[in-house]
Amino acid sequence: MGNHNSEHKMNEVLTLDEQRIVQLLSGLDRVNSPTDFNFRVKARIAAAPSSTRRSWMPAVLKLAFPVILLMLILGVFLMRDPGVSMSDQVAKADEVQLVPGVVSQEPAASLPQSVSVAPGEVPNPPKIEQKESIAVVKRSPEPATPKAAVVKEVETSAPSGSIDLSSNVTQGINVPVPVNANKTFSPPKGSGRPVRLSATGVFSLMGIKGSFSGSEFKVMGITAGSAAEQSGIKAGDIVEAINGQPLAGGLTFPHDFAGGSLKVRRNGQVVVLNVGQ
Amino acid sequence: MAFDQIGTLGVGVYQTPMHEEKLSDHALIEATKAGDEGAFEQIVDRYRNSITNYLYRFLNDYEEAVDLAQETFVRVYFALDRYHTQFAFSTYIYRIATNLAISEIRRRKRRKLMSLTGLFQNEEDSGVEFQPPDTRILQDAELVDGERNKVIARAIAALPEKYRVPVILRDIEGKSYDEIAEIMELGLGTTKSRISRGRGLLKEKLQHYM
Repeated sequence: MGNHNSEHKMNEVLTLDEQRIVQLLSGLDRVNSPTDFNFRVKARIAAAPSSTRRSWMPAVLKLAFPVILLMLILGVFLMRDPGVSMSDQVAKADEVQLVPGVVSQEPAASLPQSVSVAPGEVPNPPKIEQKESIAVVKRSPEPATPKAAVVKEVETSAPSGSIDLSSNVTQGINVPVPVNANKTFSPPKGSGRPVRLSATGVFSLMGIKGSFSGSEFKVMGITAGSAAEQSGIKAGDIVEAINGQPLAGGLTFPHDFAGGSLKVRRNGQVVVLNVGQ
Repeated sequence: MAFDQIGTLGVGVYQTPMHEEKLSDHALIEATKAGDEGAFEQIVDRYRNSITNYLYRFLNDYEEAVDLAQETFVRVYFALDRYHTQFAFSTYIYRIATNLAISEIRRRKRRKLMSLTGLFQNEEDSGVEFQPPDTRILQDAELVDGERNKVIARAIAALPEKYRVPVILRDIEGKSYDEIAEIMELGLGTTKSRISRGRGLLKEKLQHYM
């Protein structure tokens, strides 16, 4: 190093002061590393966290892994509904809502062809198909009304031999009627997301007719033979909550809603009635 | 193969003793990249003393200098894949050592409690500490030399970083202006002026020994 040092300085024009400074600095004793230097370096390398270690994986592969993973995820989304873009799917899923007032579909192949009730005999709860349907509508900025909002209606026709609720076959027989025993609903295909029932849809399934007033639902009428009738809901009742959840905006329930409790205000008194349970 | 397994597995792969004398830094690095840890050991042997001496003069603390020199080699080892051979390896390793040393100095400054000198220092002289000339008369020539070296070492260590690095590299490590410019990633003119300015500051501090 000393020779190397003097070589450089020979080519440099220095003042006397600079020469003296250079002489002082180059005259300093050099220090050497300790004898166990290599061992300590090895130990540090061996103890280094894995994140700092040289990886066996080439840099190209390091980049390729996340890219391939991303492509796989995108591929899964696109293959779920070929021909429909992912944004369309998301938009479609957001736009569906259940509106009561019309029928459900699913031809009741398993329905009994006829129901006969012998005196003194309690029949099994009949599977009744009601002449109502649930339509899939597009959600508009304003609250959708059944009149204007129906876009797609699933036609249903009661197969011959099925029982019409209006005929009140079970009249006089106290048979518990499940909320959705006679109504079935299949979520639209291709949405990619489970469809949920709005509060209005739930009331419809229960057989309750009425209208919303703020965050309350005023019962205007009850479908004969429905679960609501069985549970004692009456016209004029005001429903405040379903399953303890206030009827605020955005309240939804699973599409296979089987029944629940209604918090009802009747003549100033609050009662909780179980419907379809 | 892990670096700590050298000697048990690595020797057979690479004929270290046969080529030890003339292999360039780049050849040793390529061999290390290929998995020969013995080649990396040669690199360490080649630079360990110069890097330690450089860091010692920079920090004026031997233990810290050894620690940072070891860290320098660890960083080099794990960054070999990113090393491009268009630069001299010595430039590369000195740059890493310099960056580590500067980081260490800044870390020390952050730790340092606010002092009177710190309150009144301006940015230009932020690294300069008050160093009164030592006018005591010493009896023994050896003691005189030892004391003088200590004063010089302290004077170097008290230089601002931007002057300290080029002065040490030039006047102690014997690097060329071009190499220093590459290590500091500066222009040649700036490098020369900083060296000149650094020497001027040292002259003021070491007036007693001139």
